[in-house]
Amino acid sequence: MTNHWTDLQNSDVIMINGSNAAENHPISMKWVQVAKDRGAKVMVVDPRFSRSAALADMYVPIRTGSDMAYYGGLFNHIFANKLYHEDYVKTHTNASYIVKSTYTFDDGIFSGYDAEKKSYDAKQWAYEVAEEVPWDTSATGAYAWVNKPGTPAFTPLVNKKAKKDPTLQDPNCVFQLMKKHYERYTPEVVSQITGIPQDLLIESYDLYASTGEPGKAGVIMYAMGQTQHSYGSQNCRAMSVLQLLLGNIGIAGGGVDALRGESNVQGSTDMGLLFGNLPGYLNLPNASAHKNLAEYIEKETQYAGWWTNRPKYLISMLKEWYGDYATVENDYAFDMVPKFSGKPHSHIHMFQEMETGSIEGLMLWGQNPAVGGPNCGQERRAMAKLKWMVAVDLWETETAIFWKAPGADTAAIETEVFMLPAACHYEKQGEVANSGRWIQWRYKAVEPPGECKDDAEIISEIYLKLKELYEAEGGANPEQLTKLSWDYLDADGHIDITKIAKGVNGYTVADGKALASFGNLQADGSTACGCWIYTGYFANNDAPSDPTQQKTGARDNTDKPLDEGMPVVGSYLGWSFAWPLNRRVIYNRCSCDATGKPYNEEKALVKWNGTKWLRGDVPDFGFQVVAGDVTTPTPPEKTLSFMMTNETVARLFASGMKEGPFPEHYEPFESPVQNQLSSQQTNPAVSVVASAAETMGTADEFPIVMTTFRLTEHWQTGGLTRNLPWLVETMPKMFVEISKELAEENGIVSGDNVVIENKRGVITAYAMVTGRVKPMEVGGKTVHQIAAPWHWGYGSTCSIGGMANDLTPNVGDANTHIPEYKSFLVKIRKQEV
Amino acid sequence: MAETAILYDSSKCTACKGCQVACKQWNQLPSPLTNDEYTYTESFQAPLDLAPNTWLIINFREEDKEIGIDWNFMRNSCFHCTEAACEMACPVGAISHKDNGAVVIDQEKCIGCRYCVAACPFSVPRWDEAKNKTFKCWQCFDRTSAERQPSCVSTCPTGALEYGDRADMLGIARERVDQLKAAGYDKAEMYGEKELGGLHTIVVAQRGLEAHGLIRDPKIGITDFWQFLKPLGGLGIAATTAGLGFSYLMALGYKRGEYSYDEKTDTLNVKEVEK
Amino acid sequence: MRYIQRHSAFARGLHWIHTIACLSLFATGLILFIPSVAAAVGMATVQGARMVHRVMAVIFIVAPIAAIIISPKGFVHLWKSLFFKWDADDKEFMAKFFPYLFFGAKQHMPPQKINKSGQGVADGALIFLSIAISITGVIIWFPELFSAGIVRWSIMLHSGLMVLIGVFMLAHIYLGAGIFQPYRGSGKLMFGDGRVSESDALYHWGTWAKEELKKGDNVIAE
Repeated sequence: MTNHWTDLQNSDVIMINGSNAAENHPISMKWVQVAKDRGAKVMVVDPRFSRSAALADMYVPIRTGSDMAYYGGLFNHIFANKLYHEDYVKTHTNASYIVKSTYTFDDGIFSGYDAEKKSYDAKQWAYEVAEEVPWDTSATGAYAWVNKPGTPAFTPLVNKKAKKDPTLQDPNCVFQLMKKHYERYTPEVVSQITGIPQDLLIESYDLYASTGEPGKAGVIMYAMGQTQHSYGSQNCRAMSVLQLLLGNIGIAGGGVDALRGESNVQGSTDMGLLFGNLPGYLNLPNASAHKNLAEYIEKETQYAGWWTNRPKYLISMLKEWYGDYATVENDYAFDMVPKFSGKPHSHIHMFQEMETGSIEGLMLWGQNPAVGGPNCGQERRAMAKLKWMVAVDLWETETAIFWKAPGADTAAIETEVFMLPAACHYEKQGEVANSGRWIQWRYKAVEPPGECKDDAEIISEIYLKLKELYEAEGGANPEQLTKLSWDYLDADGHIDITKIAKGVNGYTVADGKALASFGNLQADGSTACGCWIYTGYFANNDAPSDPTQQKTGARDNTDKPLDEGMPVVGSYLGWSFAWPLNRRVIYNRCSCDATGKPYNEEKALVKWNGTKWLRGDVPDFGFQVVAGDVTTPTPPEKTLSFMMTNETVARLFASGMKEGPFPEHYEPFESPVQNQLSSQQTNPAVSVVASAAETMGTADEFPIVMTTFRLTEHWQTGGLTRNLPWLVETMPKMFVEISKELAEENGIVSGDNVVIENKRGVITAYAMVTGRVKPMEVGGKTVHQIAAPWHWGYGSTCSIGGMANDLTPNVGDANTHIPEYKSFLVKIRKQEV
Repeated sequence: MAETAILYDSSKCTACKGCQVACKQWNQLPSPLTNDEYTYTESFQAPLDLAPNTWLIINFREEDKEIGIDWNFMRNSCFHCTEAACEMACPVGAISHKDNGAVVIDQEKCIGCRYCVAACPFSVPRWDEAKNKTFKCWQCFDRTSAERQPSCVSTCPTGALEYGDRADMLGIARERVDQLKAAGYDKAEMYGEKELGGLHTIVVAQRGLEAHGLIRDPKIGITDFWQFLKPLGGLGIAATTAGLGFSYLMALGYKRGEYSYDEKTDTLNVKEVEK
Repeated sequence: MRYIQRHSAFARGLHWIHTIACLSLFATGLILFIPSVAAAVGMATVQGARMVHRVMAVIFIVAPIAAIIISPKGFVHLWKSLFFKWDADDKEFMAKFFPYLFFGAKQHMPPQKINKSGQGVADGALIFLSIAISITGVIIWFPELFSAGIVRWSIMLHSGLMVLIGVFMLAHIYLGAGIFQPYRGSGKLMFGDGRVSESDALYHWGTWAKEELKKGDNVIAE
């Protein structure tokens, strides 16, 4: 989330799109309700009428996978009717930037496309450069740190300032290019793609675009319904662009709010658990592009904005990992960091590699891909080729017993499987980060039962044993493990999570003092920090091992602004710690115009009072310079709108995306219709793994569109919830939602067993015939959609059922490889008794 | 103790069923343990009905529309009526009102006769065959008497459930109905202010009572007064006994004559007994 | 002395059984009827009483039905003896009965047939009330088979019928067991050997007694 849960109350229009917040994030509705009580309108865009839709003022049924067309139409509507927030767009976005004439777009393809490699050359989409300003590395310059002793040698970067047209009239400025790009998304076409009746479409556009009025706030709450598509990243781009056009980023009640689907999935991505990331959203080094630290720094560091500090964060992280072993002479142990080969190593690719045998062992930590993976039948077959597997979980999940799956050739499977029982969250202490980036400390309530252990303890024991073996027996690259700094043990040799927290927070190497801000981190090896964005959350040097005395353990429930005179807007700054720096609404400089005047005084987050900045929230910009005892406020015109981009403004046009700088509508890999906007049917930048390509189906054979969803009663693959009778009872059986019309066509009534199949698998589920799903008119024909939860599997005594993911395709998005769980084709029939 | 009530606002309810589970947890009501014991309910409503081990469920009602549906939720549990038919029906006095208005079955006294089951207009009490007792929501009286909210209320994430002084709950409900009407829900109504002498579960019915499956104007029927037969019957039996006693006294000392009959002559002879 | 065999052993046996069932039903029912009694006797006794109530209810219902099946003639006889067309004597008896019952014994009563008109009313009522209380009892026993409305009415009627039967039963015992002085000795008719002496028969059921003595089939001389 750019904003946070309690901030939802400040919205005027809440768009819940591709999310079922009421069911999957129940507490969010508490704040949505507060907004509603204030008069806010809630709209839900979803293929199925969910419990979120039940609470909405407007429900917009959409064909699954057509979100981009919906947004494109909305952009067009905003441009055509001048509903954008003009001052915001001019001040805080790259709308005025001039793009090189090499940028073109024709019939669904942008310039620079290589059809063979299925990739683009993003250089074709660069800005016209007005001026090149090298980094000032002189002793008084902004980049003096580059020359500090201990800092690795690298070539300082050059700030390429783009050409701009503040009037937004230049035909090659981002604003004009964008306007033109989306002119094709007329209400007629969009209605035909999305299946939304035109009048409802326009009504919904008008409602949401009403937040473009200065002083109004609109928020988008989204989840997997937006991301789990072969163009999921572009859906997210589209939401960001929409919010920028309407001036909804960085303001109270605005934001692009990703509702994270697990209690700590935010924390896991913060800590670099995504395959391409290191902690703190640093990119994982690439073996060919980053042969040494200097190369990494030169290629990965931005030439302007906050990410110019990236070397400080990487080097501090390496210092935390390798301690004294990491020195400037050995590139701070940069060589020890796993590099990626250039090939993607996403979930999909991992299982592809298991199938071909290049991955032999698998450790699963609270994961259940046998039920949760895309095309999970393929994943179970791939696991059968493993030599060994370790499953760490609270329960014996389907994956831990994958060899017992229906249809598995148990006798032929030779995988050795170890089950390590883990402690649940009440049985260990540690922190979790929620969607609003709050890092909250949780305490242990009870001892884990039996042999169950804290995950960190399991990791530590495995590490110490491996280290012992490597030291005794040697092996390939033993230093990677043997040189690791592992100062996290207590006197008894057990893991001490507070020591890890201190390492994550960061400290000065010389005296071990925790640091309060990542502004203190250095690239010269004098600081260590596991995850720079967390700095400050565990920084109380007076009680270094007491979580209750840290910001992460802070539980002050009063709501007040940082500075007097600012409004109270539900920030709750004294409750836990929100990264970065306890900032609740990021990019909050954009809540004011160029002169520092808030667009909405009543909900102001920061404000220039003529002499200094008044703060409601922690400012997301350099609002003052402190030199010794002298504090100098930074005047508004010298502050940056978006510190995290090279442009230091937000991007309506983004050259970093794999499939083009503007989000464009493509059909899902399995779609019932042809793309009506171009002859490019699917995302041109996606490459498909073999097992997915072999199992693609067409609408002729598989005419029904299917999507998957979660229920409030169950959790993910059901490992937890299907073993708890109290929860099972509230939703005991696997079912599929079928429209009345489709049910009638197929002679199905509620309660029948229905067979759903495609080339990837066959499952059965009980029919739930309901008006919550309805046929749609798309591309001149009637399209039927069905929807099923994916919580069921074969591994519980309490509740078993068909696995929806036996049907989902293992096709991923071009940028993140998130699987296209949400749109695929099937056929259905009533099961004969 | 002041009169208290639970307020259920259907317009704020997301039907997450957290209250259902919280009820089971606090009151330690078991659910079946094996896959085969569960049946498909054909609805999001699960379990489908109240039961001895299920004192609270959320009801789901769908009304089809051209776009989407109206999905009307309702908290189905005891209303804790002031004029409680169950209490009136209980032959052994096992059901009583607490000072705060909660209607509670004393399991020590319950004989499992199911009179309350038949009497309740809302079909709330449920009989457990194995235990031969009847069970229902008791508004977590153990919690409320210790200044805590009922379990269901404490777990509600959206504020659809509240608990407090009945007068306050009525005030909130009234205000909420006005708000809903202003927002276009013309049929929004409050339930529980006057019904059955006043309920201790107040409901805000977003789309009107019928849409949420509420009984409009429930009444105490003649059969609910059957316990008045008890004093009446006692009176009748006492009167009879008294009358017969009087008769006995009046006839005391009476001696009948000796009767005989000569069938040949068809003569009846009566020999009077000496007095 | 001459006697008339008024009740067969079969009829007396049935009456015995029904008396026991009826009284225990009344007693156990009373425990449930009065909350303070239920509370006083404790849960185990209450549940025991409910069990006895059910067992006795089965006997109460099954015994007469079985009797009808075993001896349909007996049933017809009973029916005819209770429900018949009243003649002038019967009407006169009815008219004189309450003064007779409550205000002394001097009253001369008209002769009666096998049953007095009053007996027809009282015993006949008992039969119908018993059928009604049985039906309502079964409904209460298996409430899940019936609608709540029917069960509610049954609960009320069952209790009302209990009171009514109680009233009739008191009268029945008072008169039938001969507590009422003029009826002394009646008890043994049903609880004893079933014989009625010539004198008693003529006093109570004059018309019938004369016929029986004339006919002589049921007359026993000792």
